[in-house]
Amino acid sequence: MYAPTNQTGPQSAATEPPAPTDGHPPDAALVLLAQKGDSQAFAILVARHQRQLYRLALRMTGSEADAQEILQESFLNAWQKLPLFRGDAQFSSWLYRIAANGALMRLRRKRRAPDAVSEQAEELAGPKFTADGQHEEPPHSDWSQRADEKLLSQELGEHINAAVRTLPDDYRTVFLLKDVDGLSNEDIADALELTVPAVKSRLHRARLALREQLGDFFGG
Amino acid sequence: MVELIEQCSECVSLLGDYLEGSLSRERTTALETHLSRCMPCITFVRTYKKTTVLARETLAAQMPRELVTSLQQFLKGAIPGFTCDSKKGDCGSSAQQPDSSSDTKKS
Repeated sequence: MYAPTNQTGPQSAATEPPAPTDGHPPDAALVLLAQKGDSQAFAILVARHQRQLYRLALRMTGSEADAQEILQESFLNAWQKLPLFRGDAQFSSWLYRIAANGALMRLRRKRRAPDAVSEQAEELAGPKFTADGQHEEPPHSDWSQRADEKLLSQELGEHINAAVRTLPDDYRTVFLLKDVDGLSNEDIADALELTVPAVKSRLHRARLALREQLGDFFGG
Repeated sequence: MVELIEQCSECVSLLGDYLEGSLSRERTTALETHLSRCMPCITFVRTYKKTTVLARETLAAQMPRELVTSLQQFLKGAIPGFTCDSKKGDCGSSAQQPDSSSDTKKS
């Protein structure tokens, strides 16, 4: 348990919310200490959030080397900008925003095509419907049962990875944060500076596109 | 009076909110009524749900220990006084422990 030597005031009061499972104080208390220059408190925040940030950066860029650099830049940026953090949002959301922006900037620099995202989004696959709203190609095959048998298949894992990489950056980020990392819509909206309806819309379209690709994989 | 959902496209468009439980009671009833008599949509819902399960199961990447170490070394060099020795457990949850961030993240 990390016990800062100069902690005073209500931070140590018994009315604090339950501590996270790592045995250290909650983010808010550590942030206050880190803002005063306590780099050990910041180190605990790093240890607590590094895995989620790594997953986000890795899935956004598809590159472990890029993920490593994004992680380094994000935490360093966070440390340097910490005095500006007002606590209006959760620290973790703020951190996510830094990392997501870093990853998006890196992707856009690589592609040299700032408009590619919106163009890609228009081409997202999804179910097709007839003019009266019925399924154009009814999904007769329920591959959800077969998927259980293949859950640990390397081939399936590679297919899902490839399918996720085909999503436009903005959609992939929302999908990963929600369906893989389990963030709430509100936290994602906060981190990516989107509205909640925009998060829901991107999430739904990403799922539809991935579902189509998985259907192709399972022959459904 | 519940407004019925006749079109599968409308049913599909409501799935995200439905599965999250954020659809109104009236729309939920209408959607479930549609599902009760539309086999293609039932199949669609199952595969839609399975898509998220499969993604979660296969994409839950672990952070390599070497990367944890290199990040710590980088921050030690960049931030005066940054001390995080994973072997001594100074940072609490080091590389081998499960994510604790979800405790503070999920709400």
